[in-house]
Amino acid sequence: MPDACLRVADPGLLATVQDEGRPGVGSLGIAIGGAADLTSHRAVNRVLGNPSDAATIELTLTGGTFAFPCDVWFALGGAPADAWLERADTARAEVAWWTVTLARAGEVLRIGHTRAGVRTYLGVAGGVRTPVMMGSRSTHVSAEFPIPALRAGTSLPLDAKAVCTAHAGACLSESQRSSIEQAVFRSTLRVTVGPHAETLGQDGVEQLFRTEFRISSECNRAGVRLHSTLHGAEGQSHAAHGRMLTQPMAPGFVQVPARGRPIILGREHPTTGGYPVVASVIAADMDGVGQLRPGRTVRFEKVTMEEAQRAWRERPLALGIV
Amino acid sequence: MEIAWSSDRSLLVTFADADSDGAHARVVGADAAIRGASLPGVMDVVPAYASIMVLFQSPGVDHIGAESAVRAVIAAGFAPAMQSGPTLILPCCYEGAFAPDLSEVAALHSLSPDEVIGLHAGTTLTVRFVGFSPGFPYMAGLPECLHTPRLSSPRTRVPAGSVAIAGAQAGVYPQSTPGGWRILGRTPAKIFDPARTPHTTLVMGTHVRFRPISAREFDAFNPGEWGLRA
Repeated sequence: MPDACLRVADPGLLATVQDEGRPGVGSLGIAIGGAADLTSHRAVNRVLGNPSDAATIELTLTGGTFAFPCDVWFALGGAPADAWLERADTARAEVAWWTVTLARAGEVLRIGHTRAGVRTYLGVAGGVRTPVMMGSRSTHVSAEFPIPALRAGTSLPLDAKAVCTAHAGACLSESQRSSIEQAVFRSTLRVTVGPHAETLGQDGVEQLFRTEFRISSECNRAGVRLHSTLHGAEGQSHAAHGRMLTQPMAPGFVQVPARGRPIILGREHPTTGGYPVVASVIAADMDGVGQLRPGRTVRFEKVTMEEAQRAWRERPLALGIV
Repeated sequence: MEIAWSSDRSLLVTFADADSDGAHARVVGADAAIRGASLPGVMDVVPAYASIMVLFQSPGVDHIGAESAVRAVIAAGFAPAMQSGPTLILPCCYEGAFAPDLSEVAALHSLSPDEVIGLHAGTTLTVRFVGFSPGFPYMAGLPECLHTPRLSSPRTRVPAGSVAIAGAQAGVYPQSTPGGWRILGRTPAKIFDPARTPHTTLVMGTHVRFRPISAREFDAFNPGEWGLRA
């Protein structure tokens, strides 16, 4: 029997292998990383019956095309798009989201542009079996390890035994789908006040919570830049920028550089930085950062630390998955 | 010392607002103490010049539990430690396209390019911490007459191996990334390799000296032989 694999025909804008990330190596300049929308990644693994450390493929905005040299059970989740399985006889079958589907040897999966959000997850039974480095298969995009972003022609090893064992037609319930979608496709991100909020001055802080920020196209796994400028804050932030000593950074930090256009740090953020941190997206809303769509808008809603912790505790119950 | 709730998953422990040997010695000591305590729910400990971030997760611990655990470790006392690692010699080519900012840096300080090279390669630098991107060493010890502001407009792509300075800091870009530091040269040594153990030898406390090499030596360099101990 030939080794099981999945062939990348077209990776779209950016396709990477992702799992839960690699905690513990921040002092080497390596953020925890992992799937930008962990909830969707986990839900795809869950519906396939995969272990929680299984890796999926994270697609960005424009979908992608994959060829199956052998029979493989797979599932799609995250940002919705049109997707088809194509056979040699040109017949094609639409693929439903959050549903375990069988691709026969020789079939091609085409995933289109996302209709909402940014990141779509393609999971296979048993997970993608690329090399593990520092405890994770998650691709670090700029440092290109364990493997670089996927290219046309990349062949991804799969688990030959697992790919053909999955619950046919297993899918998430309507209520699970809608609670996931509500949690990850957000136009409001809840934040706690950041350690340097005072650099904005009182007007600047009010503006931060009043402004409907447009999401720029400068967004990647490291962070999302917003278009709107915090005008009142420009002067103060600039002064703080000159004084601030480089310090450690965390996912969800909202930094304001000298020009006043905020940046929200994503899961693959720089581990240190020198801009004031005026707010921090709460853990329960971090998947929402990974699904912020360029051209749409986002607001920040201030919550207390206790509300943030409660939102996190209640979240797995709301989703019906852990 | 100040502890801020920097997010619902992180604490920022700040020892000082400027870089100094004393502040950094406290960072090194506290970093070792917090790591050594293996606090429940703590996912990572990330040091910088004069501050440490403690990343935690719930369930396991919340911001109040994490803060009191970290305070207890610090109150129990730790020895401020100047980490004094080995001295590594890193080859650096200061010629032509490898050194796009050398002549401007020289002009800014009314020095000749050779004088800048002599100052940069004649100094023993110390890695304060690794940050920003995988393996990027933030080094202190740059002579004051080379302190130079960042580029007003950062480059969208700095080549891997670029040896650069910004303000009082010196560094090396391990990967090709965007960056605003001034590039004085390039090392052929691969300073970060995720497939190698250890992944990098330029860690907190390592001393570094640059050895000027020609473009011909750069091309002939075997990355396996880098990091010669002094």
